[in-house]
Amino acid sequence: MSAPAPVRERALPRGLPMPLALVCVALIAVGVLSFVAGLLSDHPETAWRAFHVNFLYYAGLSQAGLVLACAFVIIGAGWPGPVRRIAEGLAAWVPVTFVLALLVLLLGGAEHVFPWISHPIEIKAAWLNPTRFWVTQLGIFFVLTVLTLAFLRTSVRPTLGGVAERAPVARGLFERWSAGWRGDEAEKEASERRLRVLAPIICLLFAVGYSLVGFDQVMSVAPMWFSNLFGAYFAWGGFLSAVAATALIAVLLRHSPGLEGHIDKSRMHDLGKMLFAFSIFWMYLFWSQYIVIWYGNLPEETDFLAARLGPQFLQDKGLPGTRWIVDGFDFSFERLHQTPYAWLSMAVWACCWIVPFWVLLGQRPKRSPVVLGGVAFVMLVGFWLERNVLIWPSLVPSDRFAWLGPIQIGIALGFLGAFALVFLIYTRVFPALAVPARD
Amino acid sequence: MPMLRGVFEDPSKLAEAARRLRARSFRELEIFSPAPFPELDDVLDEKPSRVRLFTLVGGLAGVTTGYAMTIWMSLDWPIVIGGKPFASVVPYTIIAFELTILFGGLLTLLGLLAVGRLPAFRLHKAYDSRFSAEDLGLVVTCDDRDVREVDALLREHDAKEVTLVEP
Repeated sequence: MSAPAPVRERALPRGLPMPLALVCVALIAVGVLSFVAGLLSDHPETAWRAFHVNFLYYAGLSQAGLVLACAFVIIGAGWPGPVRRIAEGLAAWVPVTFVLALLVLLLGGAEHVFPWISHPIEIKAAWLNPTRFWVTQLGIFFVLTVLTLAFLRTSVRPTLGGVAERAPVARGLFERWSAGWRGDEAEKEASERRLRVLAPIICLLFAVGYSLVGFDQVMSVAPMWFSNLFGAYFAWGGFLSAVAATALIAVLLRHSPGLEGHIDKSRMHDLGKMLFAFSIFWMYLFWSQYIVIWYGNLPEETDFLAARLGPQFLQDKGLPGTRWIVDGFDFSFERLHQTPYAWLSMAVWACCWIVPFWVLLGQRPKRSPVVLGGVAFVMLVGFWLERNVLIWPSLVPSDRFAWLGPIQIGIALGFLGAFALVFLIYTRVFPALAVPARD
Repeated sequence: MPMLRGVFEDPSKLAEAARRLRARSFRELEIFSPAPFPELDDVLDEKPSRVRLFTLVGGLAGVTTGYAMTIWMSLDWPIVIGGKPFASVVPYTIIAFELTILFGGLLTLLGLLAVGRLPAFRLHKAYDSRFSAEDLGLVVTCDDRDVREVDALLREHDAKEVTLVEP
């Protein structure tokens, strides 16, 4: 039995697609303007909170994109082909995460988001104090940024041979990154050897680091609430959104030059299987926290869920006397409506679990680009809403539309534009998306 | 009708041969393979397996049984435990979840046996013990007048041995 011949990959730099890049720049301008307008308004905290939500969303998504690529490297997956390059492209945002975290520190945005900065909690001061917070968070982002850049540079090097002459721009960079070229075979082998060392380290650091990001940047927004599983849940949300982003981009790029025919039905089928299985696991992680909180019924734990789902999802439904013991499944949408954020939480469940589960259950939907891309898009929206529902109810408990206002939308559009622009530069200009070479 | 058996070493060569045969409208093909190969996935253009229906029915039966059994039991003999509702959907979800997987898994196994007519006590006539070890087999059923054509085509695709199997 002969092994399939290894596929050679070549970077394909093409220059920025102009209308799209200009749209991204316009979105960034909208974002910056909204952010500045928000800071100058009477309520600068709104701008910082919206910034925080988007910061978390793209931080988790981009870093997890690299973790997906690392997973492919560790298990020696042959099926992803160019899909691995797309997942790596998401990681181009990772250095930006570090810069944005620095920005929050320098501009002092954290005190608008974390209540324990202006009102320190004495008993938790050993952990919840700004010095410890920033050392941990910047440390995690910095180490992961360095490792990510090392991984990306090692990973793209074998694809850069002879590309410098053909590149429309950034020729110097291409030459520098492919200096001392030793031939395709040797470069590929050396790259794979180094990646196999880097990949497990990045995966472990992601698990530990992003659990701590979840504890520090999300859980501490409600400083009296705690759940051991929350870190894993938060990191997994980032991972699942990265898989969804990879699937969506793969579907969108399936006709782009060099990738024609490579995002075929069987690859889409595999991406669909990952979305399906991982979304079940996401719900499983949620349930594992929820059932313990439901069963224990301790006020300091149930508060967090009561603010998001409402008392109907808890044991003590607020019904008179012992009626709630008898009416185990007493549930009404009218009472759901009384909890400000309950509909938002329902939307998150629908987007991140119900839709992927029921739509991707069959084989044919997974193999259809429209359905797979559509579900991936719905999940990406769902995880953006999820990041909102994790942050806002702790800070503005009574206003059901606190997360949705002109400033918030503007900032979200700005982040979207910036993320898309970084991805476009990475995949189109330098180091450019690698596509299977045709000899 | 005569059966021709080609023995292959390379799954992609076998796949190519099978595709060529199908293009010439030889429909009665059978493949023997010691392991699953992605190259062979779409070669026979088979309809989706009926086993998945078994899985679906099993899973739905499991989730229904899980909820129905627990809720019926706790309402049939109501005991207040820790002040929780008699029929507590939240913890019963675990039982429903586990039974979904259990019933789904068991019915998948049963479906596999039923649809695949297993266990098979009589082996396929063209089976050879090499197909469980290092080689792959492509078995073509064709008319007498096509035997030469099929034979040539199999050899053309590096079949290391082509034999006529007595029906």
